[in-house]
Amino acid sequence: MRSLIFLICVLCASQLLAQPRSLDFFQGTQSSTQKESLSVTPPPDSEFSFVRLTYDQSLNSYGRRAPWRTDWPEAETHFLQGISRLSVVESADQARSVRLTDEAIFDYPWLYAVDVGKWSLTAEEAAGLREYLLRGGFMIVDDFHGSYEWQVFQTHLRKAFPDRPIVDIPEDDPLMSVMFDLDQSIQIPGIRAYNSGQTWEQDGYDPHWRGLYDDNGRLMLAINFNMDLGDAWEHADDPGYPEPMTSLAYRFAVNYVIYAMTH
Amino acid sequence: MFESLFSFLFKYPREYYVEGELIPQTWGQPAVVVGILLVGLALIIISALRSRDELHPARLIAIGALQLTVLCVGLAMLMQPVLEVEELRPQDNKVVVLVDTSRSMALSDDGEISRLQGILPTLDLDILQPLEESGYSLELQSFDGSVENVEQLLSAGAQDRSLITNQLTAALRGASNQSVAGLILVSDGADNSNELNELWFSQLQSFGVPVHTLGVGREVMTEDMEISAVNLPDSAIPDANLRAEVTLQSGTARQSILKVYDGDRIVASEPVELPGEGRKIQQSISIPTGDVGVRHLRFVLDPGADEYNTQNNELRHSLTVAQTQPRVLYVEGEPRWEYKFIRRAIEEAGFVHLHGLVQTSTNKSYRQGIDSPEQLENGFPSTRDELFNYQGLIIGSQQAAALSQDQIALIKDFVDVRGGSLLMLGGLSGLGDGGWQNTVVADILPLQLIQGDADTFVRVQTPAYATAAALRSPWLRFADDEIENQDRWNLLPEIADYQIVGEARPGATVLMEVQHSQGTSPLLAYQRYGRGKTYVLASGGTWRWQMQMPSEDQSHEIFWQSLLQEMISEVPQSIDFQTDTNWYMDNSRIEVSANIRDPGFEPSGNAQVTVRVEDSAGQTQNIELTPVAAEPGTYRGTALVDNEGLVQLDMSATLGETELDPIRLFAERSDGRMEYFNTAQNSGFLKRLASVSGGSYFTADTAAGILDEMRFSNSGITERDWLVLWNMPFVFILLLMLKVSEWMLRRRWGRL
Repeated sequence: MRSLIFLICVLCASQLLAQPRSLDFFQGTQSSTQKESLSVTPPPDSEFSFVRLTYDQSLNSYGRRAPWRTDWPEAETHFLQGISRLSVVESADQARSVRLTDEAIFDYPWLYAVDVGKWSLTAEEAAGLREYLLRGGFMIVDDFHGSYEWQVFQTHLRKAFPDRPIVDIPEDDPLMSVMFDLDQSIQIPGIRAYNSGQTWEQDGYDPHWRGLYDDNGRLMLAINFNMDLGDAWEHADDPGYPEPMTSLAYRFAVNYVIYAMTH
Repeated sequence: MFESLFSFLFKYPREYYVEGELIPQTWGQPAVVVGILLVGLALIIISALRSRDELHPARLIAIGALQLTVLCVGLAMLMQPVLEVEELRPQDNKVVVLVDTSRSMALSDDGEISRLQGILPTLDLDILQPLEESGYSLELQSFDGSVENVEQLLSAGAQDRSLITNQLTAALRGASNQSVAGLILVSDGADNSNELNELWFSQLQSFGVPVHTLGVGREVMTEDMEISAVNLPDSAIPDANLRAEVTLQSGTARQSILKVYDGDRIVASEPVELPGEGRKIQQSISIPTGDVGVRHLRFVLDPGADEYNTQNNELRHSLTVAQTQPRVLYVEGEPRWEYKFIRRAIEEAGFVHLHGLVQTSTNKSYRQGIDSPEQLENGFPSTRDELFNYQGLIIGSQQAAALSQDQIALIKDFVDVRGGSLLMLGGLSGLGDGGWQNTVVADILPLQLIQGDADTFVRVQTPAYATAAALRSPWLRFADDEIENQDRWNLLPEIADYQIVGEARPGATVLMEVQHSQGTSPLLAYQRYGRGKTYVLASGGTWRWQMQMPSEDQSHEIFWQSLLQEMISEVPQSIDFQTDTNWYMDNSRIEVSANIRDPGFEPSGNAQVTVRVEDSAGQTQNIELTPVAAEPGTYRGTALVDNEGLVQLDMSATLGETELDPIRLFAERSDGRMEYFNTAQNSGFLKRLASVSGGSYFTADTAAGILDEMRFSNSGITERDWLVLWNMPFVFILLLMLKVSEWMLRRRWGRL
């Protein structure tokens, strides 16, 4: 009985902590600029901005911190540096974060959502996501693994697109060659999985590059399933994380950006 | 009344004084007259001096002036002035009366009798009978030939076309060896001969025969509406929306509905407001081109309840819909959202093939929508053949320095020589911030680029305002209805950024503006340059119109599709083939012309151009077009097609060993239609015709004056006469009045 009460307390606490709020609530280790970057959404000051999706955690998932901010802020910092180094895209120095119910989201046609195996979308957010993608926005979802998280992700995505099929991105899709020729067979692992000597997590053994296309065959939603590109960007400066994986993740990043800005 | 009084007082009609020459003295030497005048003057002065103590000097002067006037009038009578006139001798002259018996004269002005029937009594009673009674020899002609009397005019075969110029020339030529006093033309002035020009008027004048015109018909057809012209290309691409400009007019202000039929199916419809008084308006109507094939479009104006000439409520136009997608090259020096969203907007319309060249890294560009792997392999085109293959060119945020001087010169030639359309967008490296102000391209743009080192690109969200020119624009519209169009302009979200540019050039049209801290700056403008057009849209942020509005909203798509369609709509091809019109009403001559240029768009004068013409009856003819010396690259020819119906024209051409792409066009032949258009009396033409030839214009009310006008004709056999003037009643009345005045003054002043 004591175990049960303890488990309930842990679940409640994690759920409480997962609610998005001012980052001051979480820790005082980040710089004030970094805090600001995630707490407000000013108009774009550059052609391209890294925008992280803020969402509520699913009720039946739990964790130490809000899943939407996984890998923050090193992932975007390294991502933007990589974009600037490898392309001529004029990119913002500071990342942004935004909810699907915030009108400001329509100022940013590129969106990144992480750990979506734990996400939860309200009806209003689902409608916002649908409208965002149909107007021409482009979103990448990343860092979720195995059949259970897929189920959670899909359940909430279906609120936005009940009938639109999720398909594997073909190898000849322009996404795979718009700047770099990319290999779909390589699984980009999270650092914890890699440190434990494997590339997969849970039962997500095989990498899947999946997507949701619009009526004109343009990719609206890129789904990195059973992979963790966010970790590859975040740990680009970590000698313990394999450099080839980081390089590949950067290449995918560039292709995602160039594809989003040309299709 | 006036004329009668004039004739009584001055003894002769006014025309005599207008046409004749006054000879003031036929009796006595001038010295005798002057002598008499001096003697008379001396007597008047002596008489006045004798009465100087009895009358005030002013009264003496008044009396003296009256006496002097009497003396002058008397002397004038003594000199026996005459009027020298040259008058026709009716019995020696002939008058030709030419009556317009074309189909338009069979129209009714009152809904009961035809124009011809209506004018015949006037013709008979006021013209023919008086002329005959005066002794003139008359020759009555219809457009169909000579007739014996007015009754026969009604049975003369109605001509499909009013060929006034031809008929008049023939009549004057036929009478050239006779003594003709004049020609009377009875007509509504509707000439459909296509030969009405200054040369013809000169020829008319050279005959030396005065042509008097009797205008028939109302000058404004109050109950009538008409489609005067349809301006629409002969060919188009499938599944596009084509904007036709239709010219409409009406006698009175009214509303109607303009419909466009493809066969029996209505493909477009538009309510129209006609201002009346015969004023012409232009109405735009958008027509879906549909599938590949030929559209036989009929533009029809719904007739009014009181309108009985409904034949002119319809015009036809054959439209060839062929799969020829114009190509536009879009160059960006950096990946931008604007590129993505323009591309999406254009792709959805499908009327243009957009080739993209986007620089993605320092050494790499992404080529999108290209036809082959080799295309744009070396980046921006560096030869005429490569660049001139496009109809449009869009340059975004691209540094000018990234291109060679030759490539930049090529861009200018693309507009000037090839006739392509250039659109330059604002951006971080666009326009002035891209260094374009120091290139020859700056000279051809509709807006001046700002010189200086300061950045002109501003990444601040701001509203874009439509100018009055944009709201009036027939091609840049969000809705056909004026109010709805303006509302939709106002609803557009702010654009993401803008670039400050200089003033518009004198020939440019500004369609959009932005307001900023330094004032107002043009945002979208265009102008013609050389054979082509240039546009500037000083922003890279119209993509917000797509992202900020509901996904179903089409404003962003409409804006870009309209702009691109306008850009490519009039861009000439290297091979151009056209006919002088599309619907040949009562005209069997189909004038065809071709313009042949080589891939570098230099005129080619050594091409072999043939047109195969097939009419509705299956009769074919091959026309070899001949080069026009004054217009390099142009070839012309004429096909004569008598059968009514659809005419198919296939042009084939060879340039050296190269066989050029064939072009097919369609036209239509119809008879008996033209006379129903422009049915109001063309009095302007009839007046000018009369004036040029030395004649006069008359209406049914003034027709009786023709006889007097004819009397002093410069043409024909005339006789000279001297008319005595001294005994005209006016002189005696004047003398009497002068003496009575003197007597009354004297009586009043007591000095009788």
